[in-house]
Amino acid sequence: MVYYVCAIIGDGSENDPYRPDIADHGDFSVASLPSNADGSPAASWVFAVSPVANAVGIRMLPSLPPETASTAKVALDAILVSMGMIPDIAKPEYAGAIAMISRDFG
Amino acid sequence: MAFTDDFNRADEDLEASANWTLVDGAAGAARVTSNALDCTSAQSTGSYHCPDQASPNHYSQAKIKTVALLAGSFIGVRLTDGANFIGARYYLDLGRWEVYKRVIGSFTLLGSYVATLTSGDVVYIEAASSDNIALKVNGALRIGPVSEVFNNTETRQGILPRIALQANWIDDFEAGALVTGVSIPILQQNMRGGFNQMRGGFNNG
Repeated sequence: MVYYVCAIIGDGSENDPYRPDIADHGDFSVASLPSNADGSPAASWVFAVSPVANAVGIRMLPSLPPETASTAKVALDAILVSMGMIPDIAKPEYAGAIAMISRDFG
Repeated sequence: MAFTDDFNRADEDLEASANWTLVDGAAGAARVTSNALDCTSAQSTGSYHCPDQASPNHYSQAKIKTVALLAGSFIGVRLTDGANFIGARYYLDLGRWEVYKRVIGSFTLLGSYVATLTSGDVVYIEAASSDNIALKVNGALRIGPVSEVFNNTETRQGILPRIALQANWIDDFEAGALVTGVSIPILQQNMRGGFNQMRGGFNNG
């Protein structure tokens, strides 16, 4: 499985739902994609897992086996900082990402 | 006690059963026909509640028989109405299982899994403790767990017939509460029990 930091695309309609950009490349699950009260995304990014490797243009966690929860978290934080984001456990998209990393990387 | 319905009864609109409440959409949006359930609604919003399972940590599952192209019907958890729910469906156009949340009418795709639908596949969606949403098909985890707090005090569940007409849509629906605090892997034990019940047949509709 491959882990991505994704942009959120779509307009919320039936034919163009809000979704991570990896959704257009194959199977995926998001860690957490919080919504505002009006249904629009409350975050500007989302952490997702997919069997798709090297999807063009989507920020993938570096694959350095044996990956650990600690190194995966460091990699995630580095990607977020490079995007101008502040890793903040109080934000559900980040808390969900950390929960996924803890679960999947043990 | 889980609610179950095998739809083995005379042909009737779903809301003719005291166990099902039409929340929104047209009357007869789902109809029992030949001991299975048809989607008879092409509207974008339509939903039914089954008996309230009285816990926000609950599941819905159904045996999917056939799905039409462009179909938008779901089985739902944390289901308030047709514009506010978390739901699972098979989307024939893209050949995949999907989990959505719909918030004030806006759709967010939380996960997908490509697979060929086989008539009789059992789809199961749960909203578990710690707000983990997961989808399983024939007992195998396919999407999630997704951390999702939307509607996390909503205790009701049911079905959402919508968008495209479909005869023989689902059979053997089941919904139930999950044991508080039980984690996702253990809940699979409960689900296998549900499958056994379904194989044995029942009719609480």
